[in-house]
Order: sequence, then structure tokens, then C-alpha cells
Amino acid sequence: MKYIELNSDDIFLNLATEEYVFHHFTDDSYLLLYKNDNAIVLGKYQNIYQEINVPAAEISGIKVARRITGGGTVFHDSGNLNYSFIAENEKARPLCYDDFLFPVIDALRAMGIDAQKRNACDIAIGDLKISGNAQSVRGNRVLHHGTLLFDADMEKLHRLLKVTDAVIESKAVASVPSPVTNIRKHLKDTSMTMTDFQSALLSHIFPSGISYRKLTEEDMQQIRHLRDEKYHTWEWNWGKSPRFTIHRDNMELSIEHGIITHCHVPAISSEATDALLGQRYGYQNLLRILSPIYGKDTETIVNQLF
Amino acid sequence: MKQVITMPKLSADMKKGVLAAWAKQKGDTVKKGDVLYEVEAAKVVSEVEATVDGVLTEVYFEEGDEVDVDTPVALICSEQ
Repeated sequence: MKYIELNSDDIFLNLATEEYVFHHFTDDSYLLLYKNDNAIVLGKYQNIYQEINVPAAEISGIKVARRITGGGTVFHDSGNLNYSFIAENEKARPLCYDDFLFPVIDALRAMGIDAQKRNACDIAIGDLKISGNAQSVRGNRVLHHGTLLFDADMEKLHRLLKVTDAVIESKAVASVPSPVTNIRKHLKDTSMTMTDFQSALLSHIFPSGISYRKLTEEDMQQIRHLRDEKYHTWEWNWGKSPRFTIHRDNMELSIEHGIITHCHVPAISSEATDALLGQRYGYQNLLRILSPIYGKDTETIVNQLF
Repeated sequence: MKQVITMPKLSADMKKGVLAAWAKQKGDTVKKGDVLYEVEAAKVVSEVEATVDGVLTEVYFEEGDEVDVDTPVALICSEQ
């Protein structure tokens, strides 16, 4: 196994790097470690509108990204260490979560943490989750990645997750909330920094010394292209949401791939309804479209549409 | 010849999976090795490939449907 060091905190670039290594580096198995600046990260088949508080997320300017693995929505910040294993997956003996979770659990235990596997794919201390994991399988390769909550700010997440009294109907994969804790609180040596934690993890996984693979400038060009053409696009992050309807009282909107296809809102005029059809369902976008019609009342009206 | 495509059992404890996305549509010509659809189960997204050449003549589920393991999800008709 080789280690690829990632030094960017750009979620879009880091997800593009993962996919690039997963699809192109098939000669060996790889470990990647990276941290992201504040971001909300969704599972591949989730409905973004069902998961996050769209007005709050748009106003905050937080990055919203969709990954290629399954599962639910997580909040990332610089106190969360992400790890990715990319490996061969023989059809006759497919790898399972345990193949990737236990090296990490063992490393945590060596640091004095009472880490346990919980459910199929979590790591917990007691009842509190410290790591959520997910995978993508393509041909004979598997990408397994997970979070490690070292010293993350959990409060931000709660503000930006979905809170609505409207009913959303869709067939998307929904998140399962879990109580979480930070690893740092449970360390004997509480002076350990994220850098120390990362080094301790690496030296446990590579006991005989780290074998590195460096990304070349040609690799980086392709990774940046993948970021720009996929991970940092509205079409991938928002438009990939499965179709759904949202309704509250007499209001009903149908959204297909992020576009408003049906709009029944008694509180707005037929002119406004026509203006919304075919548009991207986003908070700032609806404010922009309706403000010429409703002026200072626009915000109140748009708030009713989420 | 008809080949029934079923929801695969991708791990020892998998009982059902979400047919997350069709990569081919009804009526499409498919080749062995082409990705037919993606399944999500236990936070794993897996590609399911065609094992024969032919035409995808039937699909029995929509994207987002949860399907029990071994249940037919599609039919491929081939000339062999």
C-alpha cells in the first residue's frame, strides 16, 4: 500500500482526487488522508433539499458537495480527518467494511482510545460515533472512506441541517442521525494536535515506514479538470437530487433534478408561477426571480417555498 | 435467449438494496461488462454489470426503489 499526501482543504479538489486515484491508480492499494474547510457532504443518491436547510446553507456560503459513495450527510471542518482506502476487490472474495475499519480501530486503540466497531460501518466510543464510513465499488476496485472526528465543531452542523414543517416526498436515501463525540476529548494526552494524530495513524498503518506516491503535475491537471467539470458544479451537487415534491398547506412544488417542474402556490400570482417554472430551485435564485414582482415582500414569500 | 437480471447479494448480510440509478434504459443495446445499474446498500454504492450481450427489453423497478436480494430487476434478450 502507498500513501498519497493531500495538502488542500478544498472539498471539491479532494473528492476529485479520490475519484481520480480510484479510477486510474489500479496497480496498488492506496491510503489518502485529508481535511476539508467547512463543508456539507452528501451521499451519492441523496436529495440535497431533503437534507439541508437550503436558505441557511446558501446564506452562510458553506460549500455543499456530493461524494460518490453511499450513506448520509455529514459536516466537515478542519477538525475532522478524512481517510480513504482504495484497493483491489476480488469478486470471489469481496472486501468488507471490517477490512478497512479494523486497521483504524487498532490505531485508535494504540492511542488509548476505547474505539469499537458499531453497526456495519461506524466506529464509536461507547454510544457516541467518532467515524462514519461508506464505500463505492467499481469493477474490481473499492473506495472506502470515512471521517474521524478529532476536534470538529458539531454545532455548525445542526444549524444547517434540514428543519422544515413542509412534507417532502422522494425516493432518496435519507440520513440517519447519530450522537457524536470528538476523539480528542477521550485521549489520555489531550495536548495531541491534529498533526500528531495524523502521524500516529500513519505510523500504525505503515509500521515499517511510509511508502509514498506523489501526484504529478499531469495527475493534478486531470484532477482539477474533474473538480471543475463534476465536483464543483451545480448539476452534480444539486441537480443530481432525485425528483421530489414538497408541500405545506395548499402549496406544492415538484422538483426534477433541481428544476421546478410544477408549482402550485396560492399565495403567488400566475405571473410569478410562470416565472418559477423551469428554474433552479435555490433560495437566492428564487429571491432573484421574484423580487421584481414582490419587492420587499419577496423574502417572506420565498421562505414559504422551502 | 433471455437472461433475468436480479438484485445481487453483495455482502453476507445484505437482504435488500436500493436500485439507485439505471445506467441503461429499456430498449438499449448492452454489451457484456457494461454497467446496467447502481445499487446502494449499507452505504456502499456498487455498479452492476451485464454478463451477456443483448437488448435490455424489460426493467421492473424505478430509480429509488428498494428491492429484495434475488428479485428480478430487468431482462436482457440476446441472440445466442
